[in-house]
Amino acid sequence: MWKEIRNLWTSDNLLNEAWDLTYEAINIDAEMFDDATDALWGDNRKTVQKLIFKKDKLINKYERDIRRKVITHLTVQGNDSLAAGLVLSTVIVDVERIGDYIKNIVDLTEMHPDEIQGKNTKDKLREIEVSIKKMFKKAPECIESGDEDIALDMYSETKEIGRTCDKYIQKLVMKNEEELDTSSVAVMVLYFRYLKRINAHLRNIISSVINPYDRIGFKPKKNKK
Amino acid sequence: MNTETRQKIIKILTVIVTIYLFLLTIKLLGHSFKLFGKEFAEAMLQTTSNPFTGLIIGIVATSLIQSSSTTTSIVVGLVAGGVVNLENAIPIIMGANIGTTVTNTLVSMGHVGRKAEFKRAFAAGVVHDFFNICAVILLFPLELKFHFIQKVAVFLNDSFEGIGGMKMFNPLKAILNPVIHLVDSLMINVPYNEIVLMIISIIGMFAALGLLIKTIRSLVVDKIEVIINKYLFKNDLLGMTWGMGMTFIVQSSSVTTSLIVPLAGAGIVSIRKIFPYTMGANIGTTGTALLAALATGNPVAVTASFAHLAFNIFGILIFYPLKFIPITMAEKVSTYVSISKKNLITFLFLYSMIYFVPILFIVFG
Repeated sequence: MWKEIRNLWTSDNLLNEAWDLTYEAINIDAEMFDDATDALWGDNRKTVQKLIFKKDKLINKYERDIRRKVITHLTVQGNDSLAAGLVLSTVIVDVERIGDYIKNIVDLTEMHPDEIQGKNTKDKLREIEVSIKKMFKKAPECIESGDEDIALDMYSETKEIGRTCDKYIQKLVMKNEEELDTSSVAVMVLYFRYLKRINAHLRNIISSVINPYDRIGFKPKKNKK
Repeated sequence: MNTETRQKIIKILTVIVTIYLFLLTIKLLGHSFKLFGKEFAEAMLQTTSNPFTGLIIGIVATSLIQSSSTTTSIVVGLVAGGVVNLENAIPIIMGANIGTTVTNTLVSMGHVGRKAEFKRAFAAGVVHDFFNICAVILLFPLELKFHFIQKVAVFLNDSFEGIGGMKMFNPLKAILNPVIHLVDSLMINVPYNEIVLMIISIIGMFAALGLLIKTIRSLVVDKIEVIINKYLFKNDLLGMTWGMGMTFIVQSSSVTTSLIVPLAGAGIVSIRKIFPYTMGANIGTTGTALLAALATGNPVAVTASFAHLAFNIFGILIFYPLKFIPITMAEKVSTYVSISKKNLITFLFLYSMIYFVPILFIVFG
Protein backbone atom coordinates (compact mmCIF):
# COMPACT_ATOMS: atom_id res chain seq x y z
CA MET A 1 0.00 0.00 0.00
CA TRP A 2 2.75 2.48 0.98
CA LYS A 3 4.68 1.60 -2.14
CA GLU A 4 1.56 2.34 -4.15
CA ILE A 5 1.09 5.68 -2.39
CA ARG A 6 4.72 6.56 -3.11
CA ASN A 7 4.31 5.59 -6.75
CA LEU A 8 1.13 7.59 -6.90
CA TRP A 9 2.95 10.70 -5.73
CA THR A 10 5.41 10.50 -8.63
CA SER A 11 2.90 9.38 -11.25
CA ASP A 12 1.91 11.38 -14.31
CA ASN A 13 -1.65 11.83 -15.57
CA LEU A 14 -3.16 8.93 -17.51
CA LEU A 15 -3.26 10.70 -20.87
CA ASN A 16 0.49 11.33 -20.75
CA GLU A 17 1.02 7.72 -19.71
CA ALA A 18 -1.10 6.63 -22.69
CA TRP A 19 1.02 8.75 -25.07
CA ASP A 20 4.19 7.18 -23.63
CA LEU A 21 2.73 3.71 -24.19
CA THR A 22 1.92 4.66 -27.80
CA TYR A 23 5.53 5.70 -28.48
CA GLU A 24 6.68 2.48 -26.85
CA ALA A 25 4.28 0.45 -29.01
CA ILE A 26 5.62 2.13 -32.18
CA ASN A 27 9.15 1.25 -31.07
CA ILE A 28 8.09 -2.37 -30.51
CA ASP A 29 6.62 -2.36 -34.04
CA ALA A 30 9.99 -1.11 -35.30
CA GLU A 31 11.84 -3.92 -33.50
CA MET A 32 9.39 -6.48 -34.86
CA PHE A 33 9.85 -5.11 -38.36
CA ASP A 34 13.65 -5.38 -38.05
CA ASP A 35 13.37 -8.98 -36.87
CA ALA A 36 10.82 -9.94 -39.52
CA THR A 37 12.85 -8.50 -42.41
CA ASP A 38 16.00 -10.21 -41.11
CA ALA A 39 14.09 -13.49 -40.99
CA LEU A 40 12.72 -13.03 -44.49
CA TRP A 41 16.22 -12.66 -45.92
CA GLY A 42 17.42 -15.69 -44.04
CA ASP A 43 18.61 -14.73 -40.52
CA ASN A 44 17.33 -16.23 -37.24
CA ARG A 45 14.18 -17.64 -38.81
CA LYS A 46 13.58 -20.18 -36.06
CA THR A 47 13.66 -17.83 -33.11
CA VAL A 48 12.00 -14.86 -34.75
CA GLN A 49 8.48 -16.22 -35.11
CA LYS A 50 8.04 -16.86 -31.40
CA LEU A 51 9.56 -13.51 -30.49
CA ILE A 52 7.37 -11.56 -32.92
CA PHE A 53 4.17 -13.23 -31.78
CA LYS A 54 5.12 -12.42 -28.18
CA LYS A 55 5.76 -8.77 -29.04
CA ASP A 56 2.50 -8.58 -30.97
CA LYS A 57 0.65 -9.76 -27.88
CA LEU A 58 2.39 -7.01 -25.92
CA ILE A 59 1.17 -4.41 -28.42
CA ASN A 60 -2.37 -5.76 -28.10
CA LYS A 61 -2.06 -5.38 -24.33
CA TYR A 62 -0.81 -1.81 -24.78
CA GLU A 63 -3.82 -1.09 -26.99
CA ARG A 64 -6.21 -2.20 -24.25
CA ASP A 65 -4.22 -0.31 -21.59
CA ILE A 66 -4.28 2.86 -23.67
CA ARG A 67 -8.03 2.64 -24.22
CA ARG A 68 -8.59 2.06 -20.50
CA LYS A 69 -6.36 5.00 -19.58
CA VAL A 70 -8.05 7.28 -22.12
CA ILE A 71 -11.57 6.50 -20.95
CA THR A 72 -10.62 6.79 -17.27
CA HIS A 73 -8.91 10.11 -17.95
CA LEU A 74 -11.90 11.48 -19.87
CA THR A 75 -14.33 10.25 -17.21
CA VAL A 76 -12.43 11.85 -14.35
CA GLN A 77 -11.11 15.02 -16.00
CA GLY A 78 -14.01 15.89 -18.29
CA ASN A 79 -13.90 16.90 -21.92
CA ASP A 80 -10.85 19.14 -21.97
CA SER A 81 -8.68 16.39 -23.42
CA LEU A 82 -11.39 14.79 -25.54
CA ALA A 83 -9.65 15.43 -28.89
CA ALA A 84 -6.32 14.08 -27.62
CA GLY A 85 -8.09 11.00 -26.23
CA LEU A 86 -9.84 10.29 -29.52
CA VAL A 87 -6.61 10.78 -31.49
CA LEU A 88 -4.81 8.34 -29.19
CA SER A 89 -7.55 5.72 -29.57
CA THR A 90 -7.30 6.06 -33.36
CA VAL A 91 -3.51 6.03 -33.56
CA ILE A 92 -3.11 2.91 -31.44
CA VAL A 93 -5.35 0.97 -33.83
CA ASP A 94 -2.90 1.76 -36.65
CA VAL A 95 0.03 0.74 -34.45
CA GLU A 96 -1.70 -2.57 -33.72
CA ARG A 97 -2.48 -3.19 -37.41
CA ILE A 98 1.20 -2.74 -38.26
CA GLY A 99 1.95 -5.56 -35.82
CA ASP A 100 -0.53 -7.78 -37.69
CA TYR A 101 1.14 -7.12 -41.08
CA ILE A 102 4.54 -7.84 -39.58
CA LYS A 103 3.17 -11.19 -38.45
CA ASN A 104 2.08 -11.77 -42.04
CA ILE A 105 5.68 -11.18 -43.15
CA VAL A 106 6.83 -13.85 -40.70
CA ASP A 107 4.21 -16.19 -42.15
CA LEU A 108 5.82 -15.64 -45.54
CA THR A 109 9.16 -16.86 -44.18
CA GLU A 110 7.38 -20.02 -43.07
CA MET A 111 5.64 -20.56 -46.39
CA HIS A 112 8.71 -19.81 -48.51
CA PRO A 113 11.83 -20.95 -46.67
CA ASP A 114 14.00 -20.87 -49.81
CA GLU A 115 15.99 -17.85 -50.87
CA ILE A 116 13.97 -15.30 -52.85
CA GLN A 117 15.16 -14.86 -56.43
CA GLY A 118 15.22 -11.75 -58.64
CA LYS A 119 18.02 -9.32 -57.82
CA ASN A 120 16.46 -6.05 -59.07
CA THR A 121 13.17 -6.56 -57.30
CA LYS A 122 14.97 -7.72 -54.15
CA ASP A 123 17.08 -4.57 -54.16
CA LYS A 124 13.95 -2.45 -54.43
CA LEU A 125 12.34 -4.33 -51.55
CA ARG A 126 15.38 -3.74 -49.36
CA GLU A 127 15.37 -0.06 -50.32
CA ILE A 128 11.73 0.25 -49.23
CA GLU A 129 12.50 -1.61 -45.99
CA VAL A 130 15.23 0.93 -45.19
CA SER A 131 12.82 3.83 -45.84
CA ILE A 132 10.19 2.27 -43.60
CA LYS A 133 12.75 1.63 -40.84
CA LYS A 134 13.68 5.33 -40.96
CA MET A 135 10.00 6.19 -40.81
CA PHE A 136 9.56 4.03 -37.68
CA LYS A 137 12.42 5.89 -36.01
CA LYS A 138 11.12 9.34 -36.89
CA ALA A 139 7.39 8.74 -36.16
CA PRO A 140 7.43 8.88 -32.31
CA GLU A 141 9.73 11.93 -32.36
CA CYS A 142 7.47 13.64 -34.87
CA ILE A 143 4.29 12.97 -32.85
CA GLU A 144 5.94 14.02 -29.59
CA SER A 145 7.26 17.28 -31.03
CA GLY A 146 4.08 17.91 -33.04
CA ASP A 147 6.29 19.34 -35.80
CA GLU A 148 3.97 19.73 -38.80
CA ASP A 149 6.79 20.38 -41.28
CA ILE A 150 8.53 17.10 -40.44
CA ALA A 151 5.17 15.34 -40.54
CA LEU A 152 4.37 16.73 -44.00
CA ASP A 153 7.77 15.61 -45.32
CA MET A 154 7.23 12.15 -43.87
CA TYR A 155 3.70 12.09 -45.31
CA SER A 156 5.05 12.83 -48.82
CA GLU A 157 7.68 10.12 -48.37
CA THR A 158 5.08 7.52 -47.45
CA LYS A 159 3.02 8.48 -50.50
CA GLU A 160 6.07 7.85 -52.68
CA ILE A 161 6.72 4.47 -51.02
CA GLY A 162 3.10 3.50 -51.64
CA ARG A 163 3.36 4.42 -55.33
CA THR A 164 6.60 2.42 -55.67
CA CYS A 165 4.98 -0.65 -54.10
CA ASP A 166 2.03 -0.43 -56.51
CA LYS A 167 4.37 -0.02 -59.48
CA TYR A 168 6.41 -3.11 -58.57
CA ILE A 169 3.35 -5.25 -57.85
CA GLN A 170 2.04 -4.37 -61.30
CA LYS A 171 5.43 -5.17 -62.89
CA LEU A 172 5.64 -8.53 -61.16
CA VAL A 173 2.11 -9.58 -62.02
CA MET A 174 1.93 -8.28 -65.57
CA LYS A 175 5.49 -8.48 -66.92
CA ASN A 176 7.66 -10.65 -64.64
CA GLU A 177 10.77 -9.22 -66.37
CA GLU A 178 13.19 -11.27 -64.28
CA GLU A 179 11.31 -14.49 -65.19
CA LEU A 180 10.85 -15.59 -61.60
CA ASP A 181 9.06 -18.79 -60.62
CA THR A 182 5.43 -18.50 -59.50
CA SER A 183 6.26 -19.03 -55.85
CA SER A 184 8.81 -16.20 -55.78
CA VAL A 185 6.40 -13.87 -57.58
CA ALA A 186 3.68 -14.67 -55.07
CA VAL A 187 6.00 -14.03 -52.13
CA MET A 188 7.28 -10.78 -53.57
CA VAL A 189 3.82 -9.50 -54.47
CA LEU A 190 2.57 -10.28 -50.98
CA TYR A 191 5.66 -8.71 -49.42
CA PHE A 192 5.23 -5.52 -51.48
CA ARG A 193 1.59 -5.50 -50.41
CA TYR A 194 2.47 -5.88 -46.72
CA LEU A 195 5.09 -3.17 -46.94
CA LYS A 196 2.52 -0.92 -48.60
CA ARG A 197 0.03 -1.55 -45.79
CA ILE A 198 2.62 -1.01 -43.03
CA ASN A 199 3.65 2.19 -44.78
CA ALA A 200 0.00 3.29 -45.07
CA HIS A 201 -0.62 2.76 -41.37
CA LEU A 202 2.52 4.74 -40.57
CA ARG A 203 1.11 7.48 -42.80
CA ASN A 204 -2.14 7.44 -40.82
CA ILE A 205 -0.17 7.78 -37.58
CA ILE A 206 1.83 10.70 -38.96
CA SER A 207 -1.29 12.37 -40.35
CA SER A 208 -2.54 12.78 -36.77
CA VAL A 209 0.11 15.50 -36.38
CA ILE A 210 -1.03 17.42 -39.44
CA ASN A 211 -4.75 16.78 -39.61
CA PRO A 212 -7.69 17.53 -37.34
CA TYR A 213 -9.36 14.48 -35.78
CA ASP A 214 -11.92 13.98 -38.55
CA ARG A 215 -9.19 13.86 -41.23
CA ILE A 216 -6.76 11.45 -39.55
CA GLY A 217 -5.71 8.94 -42.21
CA PHE A 218 -6.79 11.23 -45.05
CA LYS A 219 -4.90 13.58 -47.33
CA PRO A 220 -3.98 16.86 -45.62
CA LYS A 221 -5.82 19.89 -46.99
CA LYS A 222 -3.85 21.77 -49.64
CA ASN A 223 -3.29 24.99 -47.70
CA LYS A 224 -1.05 23.05 -45.28
CA LYS A 225 1.81 23.10 -47.79
CA MET B 1 8.17 30.02 -9.95
CA ASN B 2 6.24 28.61 -12.93
CA THR B 3 2.50 29.04 -13.54
CA GLU B 4 1.68 25.48 -12.52
CA THR B 5 3.38 25.83 -9.12
CA ARG B 6 1.74 29.21 -8.60
CA GLN B 7 -1.68 27.74 -9.39
CA LYS B 8 -1.05 24.86 -7.00
CA ILE B 9 -0.12 27.24 -4.17
CA ILE B 10 -3.26 29.31 -4.83
CA LYS B 11 -5.38 26.15 -4.73
CA ILE B 12 -3.80 24.95 -1.47
CA LEU B 13 -4.43 28.38 0.09
CA THR B 14 -8.03 28.22 -1.19
CA VAL B 15 -8.45 24.82 0.49
CA ILE B 16 -7.15 26.18 3.82
CA VAL B 17 -9.41 29.24 3.62
CA THR B 18 -12.51 27.21 2.60
CA ILE B 19 -11.95 24.68 5.39
CA TYR B 20 -11.79 27.59 7.81
CA LEU B 21 -14.95 29.13 6.34
CA PHE B 22 -16.74 25.76 6.43
CA LEU B 23 -15.90 25.27 10.11
CA LEU B 24 -16.80 28.86 10.88
CA THR B 25 -20.21 28.59 9.20
CA ILE B 26 -20.96 25.34 11.08
CA LYS B 27 -20.13 27.03 14.34
CA LEU B 28 -22.20 30.06 13.34
CA LEU B 29 -25.11 27.80 12.44
CA GLY B 30 -25.06 26.16 15.86
CA HIS B 31 -24.74 29.61 17.40
CA SER B 32 -27.69 30.97 15.40
CA PHE B 33 -29.92 28.09 16.55
CA LYS B 34 -29.08 28.93 20.13
CA LEU B 35 -30.22 32.51 19.48
CA PHE B 36 -33.63 31.24 18.37
CA GLY B 37 -34.42 30.48 21.98
CA LYS B 38 -36.06 27.73 23.97
CA GLU B 39 -39.42 27.71 22.17
CA PHE B 40 -37.85 27.13 18.78
CA ALA B 41 -35.68 24.36 20.21
CA GLU B 42 -38.73 22.66 21.66
CA ALA B 43 -40.61 22.96 18.36
CA MET B 44 -37.69 21.48 16.43
CA LEU B 45 -37.32 18.68 18.94
CA GLN B 46 -41.01 17.99 18.54
CA THR B 47 -40.78 17.93 14.73
CA THR B 48 -37.85 15.55 14.62
CA SER B 49 -39.04 13.40 17.51
CA ASN B 50 -40.76 11.04 15.09
CA PRO B 51 -37.89 8.91 13.74
CA PHE B 52 -39.72 8.25 10.44
CA THR B 53 -40.04 11.98 9.89
CA GLY B 54 -36.34 12.35 10.67
CA LEU B 55 -35.46 9.62 8.21
CA ILE B 56 -37.53 11.22 5.46
CA ILE B 57 -36.12 14.69 6.20
CA GLY B 58 -32.65 13.18 5.74
CA ILE B 59 -33.56 11.46 2.46
CA VAL B 60 -35.40 14.40 0.90
CA ALA B 61 -33.02 17.14 2.06
CA THR B 62 -29.97 15.25 0.84
CA SER B 63 -31.47 14.29 -2.51
CA LEU B 64 -32.42 17.93 -3.08
CA ILE B 65 -28.99 19.33 -2.23
CA GLN B 66 -27.12 16.25 -3.53
CA SER B 67 -24.70 16.20 -0.63
CA SER B 68 -24.85 14.05 2.47
CA SER B 69 -21.87 15.96 3.87
CA THR B 70 -23.95 19.14 3.88
CA THR B 71 -26.98 17.47 5.48
CA THR B 72 -24.96 15.75 8.19
CA SER B 73 -23.00 18.94 8.85
CA ILE B 74 -26.27 20.85 9.28
CA VAL B 75 -27.47 18.09 11.62
CA VAL B 76 -24.24 18.47 13.60
CA GLY B 77 -24.90 22.23 13.74
CA LEU B 78 -28.45 21.59 14.95
CA VAL B 79 -27.20 19.19 17.62
CA ALA B 80 -24.54 21.68 18.71
CA GLY B 81 -27.24 24.36 18.89
CA GLY B 82 -29.32 22.10 21.11
CA VAL B 83 -32.35 22.05 18.80
CA VAL B 84 -31.99 18.39 17.81
CA ASN B 85 -30.97 15.70 20.25
CA LEU B 86 -28.76 12.73 19.47
CA GLU B 87 -31.62 10.25 19.30
CA ASN B 88 -33.47 12.36 16.74
CA ALA B 89 -30.33 13.11 14.74
CA ILE B 90 -29.54 9.46 13.94
CA PRO B 91 -32.56 8.82 11.64
CA ILE B 92 -31.81 12.04 9.72
CA ILE B 93 -28.22 10.86 9.25
CA MET B 94 -29.47 7.46 8.04
CA GLY B 95 -31.77 9.20 5.56
CA ALA B 96 -28.88 11.33 4.31
CA ASN B 97 -27.07 8.14 3.33
CA ILE B 98 -29.93 7.17 1.03
CA GLY B 99 -30.44 10.66 -0.37
CA THR B 100 -26.85 11.05 -1.48
CA THR B 101 -27.07 8.13 -3.92
CA VAL B 102 -29.48 9.90 -6.29
CA THR B 103 -26.53 11.52 -8.09
CA ASN B 104 -25.15 8.16 -9.30
CA THR B 105 -28.49 7.16 -10.74
CA LEU B 106 -28.76 10.48 -12.55
CA VAL B 107 -25.23 10.05 -13.97
CA SER B 108 -26.12 6.60 -15.30
CA MET B 109 -28.99 8.15 -17.33
CA GLY B 110 -26.33 9.64 -19.59
CA HIS B 111 -25.87 6.15 -21.08
CA VAL B 112 -29.53 5.59 -21.86
CA GLY B 113 -28.95 5.60 -25.64
CA ARG B 114 -26.99 2.32 -25.69
CA LYS B 115 -28.74 -0.64 -24.15
CA ALA B 116 -25.84 -2.82 -22.91
CA GLU B 117 -23.86 0.20 -21.75
CA PHE B 118 -26.88 1.64 -19.93
CA LYS B 119 -27.54 -1.67 -18.21
CA ARG B 120 -24.01 -1.76 -16.78
CA ALA B 121 -23.96 1.94 -15.85
CA PHE B 122 -27.40 1.78 -14.25
CA ALA B 123 -26.45 -1.26 -12.16
CA ALA B 124 -23.32 0.58 -10.98
CA GLY B 125 -25.43 3.64 -10.16
CA VAL B 126 -28.16 1.91 -8.18
CA VAL B 127 -25.99 -0.60 -6.29
CA HIS B 128 -25.09 2.20 -3.88
CA ASP B 129 -28.80 2.99 -3.45
CA PHE B 130 -29.67 -0.63 -2.72
CA PHE B 131 -26.80 -1.02 -0.27
CA ASN B 132 -27.89 2.06 1.67
CA ILE B 133 -31.59 1.17 1.49
CA CYS B 134 -30.84 -2.38 2.73
CA ALA B 135 -28.72 -0.98 5.57
CA VAL B 136 -31.51 1.39 6.63
CA ILE B 137 -34.25 -1.27 6.33
CA LEU B 138 -32.27 -3.49 8.68
CA LEU B 139 -30.61 -1.05 11.04
CA PHE B 140 -33.32 1.59 11.41
CA PRO B 141 -35.84 -0.63 13.31
CA LEU B 142 -33.01 -2.21 15.31
CA GLU B 143 -31.79 1.23 16.30
CA LEU B 144 -35.31 2.26 17.33
CA LYS B 145 -35.56 -0.82 19.53
CA PHE B 146 -32.06 -1.13 20.98
CA HIS B 147 -30.30 2.24 20.31
CA PHE B 148 -27.12 0.31 19.64
CA ILE B 149 -25.74 2.85 17.13
CA GLN B 150 -26.28 5.58 19.70
CA LYS B 151 -24.53 3.49 22.36
CA VAL B 152 -21.56 2.77 20.09
CA ALA B 153 -21.35 6.47 19.17
CA VAL B 154 -21.38 7.47 22.84
CA PHE B 155 -18.69 4.90 23.53
CA LEU B 156 -16.58 6.21 20.63
CA ASN B 157 -16.99 9.76 21.85
CA ASP B 158 -16.06 8.82 25.42
CA SER B 159 -12.97 7.01 24.17
CA PHE B 160 -12.12 9.97 21.97
CA GLU B 161 -12.46 12.36 24.86
CA GLY B 162 -10.57 9.91 27.07
CA ILE B 163 -7.49 10.05 24.89
CA GLY B 164 -7.69 13.85 24.83
CA GLY B 165 -9.16 14.06 21.34
CA MET B 166 -11.34 17.07 22.07
CA LYS B 167 -8.45 18.94 23.64
CA MET B 168 -6.42 18.30 20.52
CA PHE B 169 -8.96 20.33 18.56
CA ASN B 170 -9.15 23.14 21.13
CA PRO B 171 -7.02 25.47 18.97
CA LEU B 172 -9.96 25.48 16.54
CA LYS B 173 -11.96 27.37 19.16
CA ALA B 174 -9.20 29.93 19.45
CA ILE B 175 -9.29 30.73 15.76
CA LEU B 176 -13.08 30.51 15.33
CA ASN B 177 -14.44 32.20 18.46
CA PRO B 178 -13.06 35.71 17.84
CA VAL B 179 -14.86 35.79 14.47
CA ILE B 180 -18.08 34.51 16.08
CA HIS B 181 -17.86 37.32 18.66
CA LEU B 182 -17.18 39.84 15.91
CA VAL B 183 -20.22 38.63 13.91
CA ASP B 184 -22.30 38.79 17.08
CA SER B 185 -21.34 42.39 17.73
CA LEU B 186 -22.03 43.33 14.10
CA MET B 187 -25.44 41.64 14.10
CA ILE B 188 -26.63 42.98 17.43
CA ASN B 189 -28.81 45.75 15.91
CA VAL B 190 -29.97 43.74 12.90
CA PRO B 191 -33.69 42.83 13.12
CA TYR B 192 -34.32 39.06 13.27
CA ASN B 193 -30.58 38.60 13.64
CA GLU B 194 -30.93 34.88 14.42
CA ILE B 195 -32.74 34.23 11.10
CA VAL B 196 -30.26 36.38 9.16
CA LEU B 197 -27.38 34.58 10.83
CA MET B 198 -28.87 31.17 10.09
CA ILE B 199 -29.38 32.04 6.42
CA ILE B 200 -25.86 33.47 6.14
CA SER B 201 -24.42 30.35 7.81
CA ILE B 202 -26.26 27.92 5.54
CA ILE B 203 -25.42 29.85 2.35
CA GLY B 204 -21.83 30.24 3.56
CA MET B 205 -21.58 26.54 4.35
CA PHE B 206 -22.89 25.56 0.89
CA ALA B 207 -20.47 27.94 -0.80
CA ALA B 208 -17.49 26.88 1.33
CA LEU B 209 -18.15 23.16 0.94
CA GLY B 210 -18.84 23.51 -2.80
CA LEU B 211 -15.64 25.47 -3.37
CA LEU B 212 -13.70 23.09 -1.12
CA ILE B 213 -14.83 20.01 -3.06
CA LYS B 214 -14.14 21.70 -6.41
CA THR B 215 -10.67 22.93 -5.41
CA ILE B 216 -9.57 19.65 -3.81
CA ARG B 217 -10.86 17.76 -6.83
CA SER B 218 -8.85 19.92 -9.21
CA LEU B 219 -5.78 19.50 -6.98
CA VAL B 220 -5.90 15.73 -6.84
CA VAL B 221 -7.66 14.86 -10.10
CA ASP B 222 -4.47 13.54 -11.78
CA LYS B 223 -3.87 11.26 -8.79
CA ILE B 224 -7.51 10.12 -8.67
CA GLU B 225 -7.42 8.87 -12.24
CA VAL B 226 -4.19 6.98 -11.56
CA ILE B 227 -5.73 5.42 -8.44
CA ILE B 228 -8.79 4.33 -10.43
CA ASN B 229 -6.66 2.96 -13.26
CA LYS B 230 -4.00 1.14 -11.28
CA TYR B 231 -5.02 0.36 -7.74
CA LEU B 232 -8.71 0.75 -7.11
CA PHE B 233 -10.12 -2.48 -8.39
CA LYS B 234 -7.26 -4.91 -7.64
CA ASN B 235 -9.09 -6.43 -4.67
CA ASP B 236 -11.98 -5.64 -2.33
CA LEU B 237 -9.83 -4.33 0.52
CA LEU B 238 -7.98 -1.93 -1.76
CA GLY B 239 -11.24 -0.84 -3.36
CA MET B 240 -12.77 -0.12 0.01
CA THR B 241 -9.66 1.64 1.34
CA TRP B 242 -9.24 3.85 -1.72
CA GLY B 243 -12.99 4.59 -1.78
CA MET B 244 -12.73 5.71 1.82
CA GLY B 245 -9.51 7.69 1.30
CA MET B 246 -10.61 9.40 -1.89
CA THR B 247 -13.98 10.38 -0.43
CA PHE B 248 -12.36 11.65 2.76
CA ILE B 249 -10.05 13.88 0.71
CA VAL B 250 -12.67 15.08 -1.80
CA GLN B 251 -15.33 15.33 0.98
CA SER B 252 -18.11 14.06 -1.25
CA SER B 253 -19.23 10.49 -1.83
CA SER B 254 -21.46 11.69 -4.68
CA VAL B 255 -18.35 12.85 -6.55
CA THR B 256 -16.28 9.72 -5.98
CA THR B 257 -19.05 7.21 -6.67
CA SER B 258 -20.36 9.08 -9.72
CA LEU B 259 -16.88 8.99 -11.25
CA ILE B 260 -16.97 5.26 -11.72
CA VAL B 261 -20.46 5.00 -13.26
CA PRO B 262 -19.25 5.88 -16.79
CA LEU B 263 -16.37 3.41 -16.37
CA ALA B 264 -18.86 0.71 -15.45
CA GLY B 265 -20.96 1.70 -18.48
CA ALA B 266 -17.92 1.26 -20.71
CA GLY B 267 -17.38 -2.17 -19.17
CA ILE B 268 -14.02 -1.24 -17.64
CA VAL B 269 -15.13 -2.24 -14.13
CA SER B 270 -17.79 -4.65 -12.96
CA ILE B 271 -20.47 -4.02 -10.35
CA ARG B 272 -18.80 -6.57 -8.04
CA LYS B 273 -15.59 -4.56 -8.05
CA ILE B 274 -17.45 -1.29 -7.57
CA PHE B 275 -19.36 -2.49 -4.53
CA PRO B 276 -16.49 -2.41 -1.95
CA TYR B 277 -15.46 0.98 -3.30
CA THR B 278 -18.94 2.44 -2.68
CA MET B 279 -18.92 0.99 0.83
CA GLY B 280 -15.58 2.68 1.47
CA ALA B 281 -17.03 5.95 0.13
CA ASN B 282 -19.78 5.70 2.76
CA ILE B 283 -17.13 5.69 5.50
CA GLY B 284 -15.05 8.43 3.87
CA THR B 285 -18.00 10.81 3.68
CA THR B 286 -18.40 10.75 7.48
CA GLY B 287 -15.15 12.74 7.78
CA THR B 288 -16.82 16.05 6.90
CA ALA B 289 -19.40 15.87 9.68
CA LEU B 290 -16.72 14.76 12.14
CA LEU B 291 -14.60 17.76 11.22
CA ALA B 292 -17.66 20.02 11.55
CA ALA B 293 -18.51 18.51 14.94
CA LEU B 294 -14.98 19.01 16.24
CA ALA B 295 -15.20 22.66 15.23
CA THR B 296 -18.31 23.10 17.39
CA GLY B 297 -16.47 21.67 20.40
CA ASN B 298 -19.78 20.16 21.48
CA PRO B 299 -19.48 16.53 22.71
CA VAL B 300 -23.07 15.68 21.64
CA ALA B 301 -22.36 16.96 18.14
CA VAL B 302 -19.20 14.86 18.02
CA THR B 303 -21.24 11.85 19.19
CA ALA B 304 -23.74 12.50 16.36
CA SER B 305 -20.92 12.43 13.83
CA PHE B 306 -19.63 9.19 15.38
CA ALA B 307 -23.16 7.80 15.00
CA HIS B 308 -22.86 8.43 11.24
CA LEU B 309 -19.57 6.53 11.23
CA ALA B 310 -20.95 3.69 13.37
CA PHE B 311 -24.03 3.30 11.16
CA ASN B 312 -21.87 2.95 8.05
CA ILE B 313 -19.50 0.51 9.72
CA PHE B 314 -22.43 -1.67 10.80
CA GLY B 315 -23.79 -1.47 7.26
CA ILE B 316 -20.50 -2.79 5.89
CA LEU B 317 -20.15 -5.49 8.53
CA ILE B 318 -23.58 -6.83 7.65
CA PHE B 319 -23.77 -6.31 3.91
CA TYR B 320 -20.22 -7.04 2.81
CA PRO B 321 -20.73 -10.76 3.59
CA LEU B 322 -24.26 -10.45 2.14
CA LYS B 323 -23.18 -8.39 -0.84
CA PHE B 324 -25.08 -10.65 -3.21
CA ILE B 325 -28.31 -9.00 -1.97
CA PRO B 326 -27.71 -5.39 -3.10
CA ILE B 327 -25.70 -6.56 -6.12
CA THR B 328 -28.43 -8.94 -7.32
CA MET B 329 -31.08 -6.28 -6.75
CA ALA B 330 -29.07 -3.77 -8.79
CA GLU B 331 -28.48 -6.29 -11.58
CA LYS B 332 -32.13 -7.34 -11.74
CA VAL B 333 -33.37 -3.75 -11.79
CA SER B 334 -30.83 -2.70 -14.43
CA THR B 335 -31.86 -5.65 -16.61
CA TYR B 336 -35.51 -4.66 -16.20
CA VAL B 337 -35.00 -0.97 -17.03
CA SER B 338 -32.74 -1.66 -20.00
CA ILE B 339 -35.38 -3.78 -21.76
CA SER B 340 -37.59 -0.86 -22.78
CA LYS B 341 -38.20 2.82 -22.21
CA LYS B 342 -41.57 1.91 -20.68
CA ASN B 343 -39.80 -0.14 -18.00
CA LEU B 344 -37.37 2.68 -17.32
CA ILE B 345 -40.19 5.17 -16.88
CA THR B 346 -42.03 2.74 -14.58
CA PHE B 347 -38.90 2.33 -12.45
CA LEU B 348 -38.21 6.07 -12.30
CA PHE B 349 -41.80 6.66 -11.24
CA LEU B 350 -41.48 4.11 -8.43
CA TYR B 351 -38.05 5.48 -7.51
CA SER B 352 -39.38 9.03 -7.23
CA MET B 353 -42.27 7.73 -5.11
CA ILE B 354 -39.70 6.69 -2.46
CA TYR B 355 -39.16 10.40 -2.03
CA PHE B 356 -42.59 11.89 -2.65
CA VAL B 357 -44.91 9.51 -0.81
CA PRO B 358 -43.21 10.07 2.57
CA ILE B 359 -43.37 13.83 2.02
CA LEU B 360 -47.10 13.54 1.41
CA PHE B 361 -47.42 11.54 4.61
CA ILE B 362 -45.57 14.23 6.56
CA VAL B 363 -47.59 17.05 5.01
CA PHE B 364 -51.00 15.45 5.26
CA GLY B 365 -50.38 12.90 8.00
